Amino acid sequence: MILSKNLPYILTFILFAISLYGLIISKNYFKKLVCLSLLQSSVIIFYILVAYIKGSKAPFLNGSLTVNPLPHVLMLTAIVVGLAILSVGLSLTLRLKEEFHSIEEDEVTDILSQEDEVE
Amino acid sequence: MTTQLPSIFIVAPIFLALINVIWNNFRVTKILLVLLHVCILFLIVDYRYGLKSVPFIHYEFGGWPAPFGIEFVINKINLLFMGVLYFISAITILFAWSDFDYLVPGGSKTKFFSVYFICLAGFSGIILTNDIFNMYVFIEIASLAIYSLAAISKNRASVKSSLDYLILGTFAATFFLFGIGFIYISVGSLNMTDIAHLLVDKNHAFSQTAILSNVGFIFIVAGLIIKFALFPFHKWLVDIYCSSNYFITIFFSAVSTKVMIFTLFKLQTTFFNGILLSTIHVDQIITLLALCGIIFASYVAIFQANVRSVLSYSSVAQIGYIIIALLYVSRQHYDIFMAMVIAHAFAKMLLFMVSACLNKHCGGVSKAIILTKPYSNLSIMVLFIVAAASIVGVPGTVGFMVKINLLMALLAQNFWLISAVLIVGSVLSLLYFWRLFEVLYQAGSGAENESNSGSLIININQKLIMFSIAGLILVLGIFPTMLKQFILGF
Repeated sequence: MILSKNLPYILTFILFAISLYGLIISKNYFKKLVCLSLLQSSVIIFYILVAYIKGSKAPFLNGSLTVNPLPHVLMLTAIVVGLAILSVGLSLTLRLKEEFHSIEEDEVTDILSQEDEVE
Repeated sequence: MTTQLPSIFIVAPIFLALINVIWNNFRVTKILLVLLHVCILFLIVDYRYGLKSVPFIHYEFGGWPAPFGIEFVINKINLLFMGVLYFISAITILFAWSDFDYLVPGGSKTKFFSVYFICLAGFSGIILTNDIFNMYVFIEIASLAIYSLAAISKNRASVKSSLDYLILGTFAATFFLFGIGFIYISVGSLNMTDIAHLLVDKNHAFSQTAILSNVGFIFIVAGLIIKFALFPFHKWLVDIYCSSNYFITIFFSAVSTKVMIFTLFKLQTTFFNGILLSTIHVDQIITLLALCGIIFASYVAIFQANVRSVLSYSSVAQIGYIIIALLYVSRQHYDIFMAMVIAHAFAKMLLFMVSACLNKHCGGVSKAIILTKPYSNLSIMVLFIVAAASIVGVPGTVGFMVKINLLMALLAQNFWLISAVLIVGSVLSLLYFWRLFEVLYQAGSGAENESNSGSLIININQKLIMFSIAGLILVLGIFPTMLKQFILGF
């Protein structure tokens, strides 16, 4: 009973954990950004779940039981912020590719450490 | 009309950023920069006198009343921090005034300053807002601007460090957002004052709401710790300070992390009667991290081969000091906390300005490069000594005054171990500055008998600015009550 009631929350936390894991182990900057996006999605789903009430309808003023509209509105902002971050991240990744011809963290670090030795 | 004035703090920079992009003329950008700083500083002075009669001023966005709408609060501390932000920004811009071509290669100068305007708007919003979700949005706005600004540099390592910071910073901000969700579930409000009242009402120990809101606060604090680069999350700070251009390094070292620390200060003072961090049982962990950071960063700084990375590690150690001040003395004496922030901002600014001058002369700031390019310039040495003395805490500088005040306040509460670590940190900072001084002295004194020595030329206005800051550091150190009076009487 407890499991079935909380299943959406548990799945959200699993998504959160998976994306955190991916963020830590992946060495490719594109993969990292994808994991970051997933991480934000898991938080967005969490907010939407919070707003949900069983048997409720979309929030119009018609007298019936409705979901809480505030988290939805907040998440609209969070989605926009997430999109902005993703686009800045991808453009930085493009510049990384231009400068170093690679988007693998290890390769870029190698190139930079060699430069330091030359200095 | 005047009731709508507080929105200017946010609307003006964003609006000017837009005009700046559309006009796309650098002469206009310069005028807009001056206009913004003059207007905002004037507004701050105006509000300072407005606050004599009332303790704080509320501003509701769109006319929606407080617990539901977004609300700005202007009180003495917020306003002082706004003043510090814009004052430092103005000094940095004046310092870099003749160097914009050198700093921002290509024709992107106007766009660079559009992003800078957005950054200022984000910082102002973080400082003034009283709505916790709004604070998240402003943190993200400011961070987005920081990521873009930090990547604009001649050093191509800046792209990597900026991307690394983007990933870590967004990760931290997501934690912050997650925490807000928990708090919203437990109390059903987003207004910080309102949440504080509701928590006191509902907080009978170990009730479900108390646990939920505590989890939320722990997520928020964890996010903020990454954002202000407390040890062991300091890697991004060192990378960014070492690789980005000097305008950004000076500005960030002086205010960027401090704004995040101020966010924590705001949360700390708002919730649970000013004992948020000890209520959610993270104060001891943060103290431990701060103390480890002071010792570790000071120790690592001794062996750095690059002037800028020495200064960055020094910043990491100083963040530890400020956090200790926040945790243990800010409740009774918030003036000590603010004085630490201001004193460190001035000293670190001056040090990065000196390193910028060296960078222009030598073409690099690693110690080896500086030794190969001797110069003869007494003022660089004097400025360096004044700023370093302030960070170390030599009597006669403002750094000494704030450190001694912090130690007295800690000893009054019998925190012997913490005080001992702070003193050890100061001794270590003397060591790393001494090694830096040796390099500068050798390079400076070798100039007379070597043929390849060029004279290090500093712009007259840059010289003037640097000596004014040095003068400020000394004057505030010699007249110890001045800074305290200024902060308390603001």
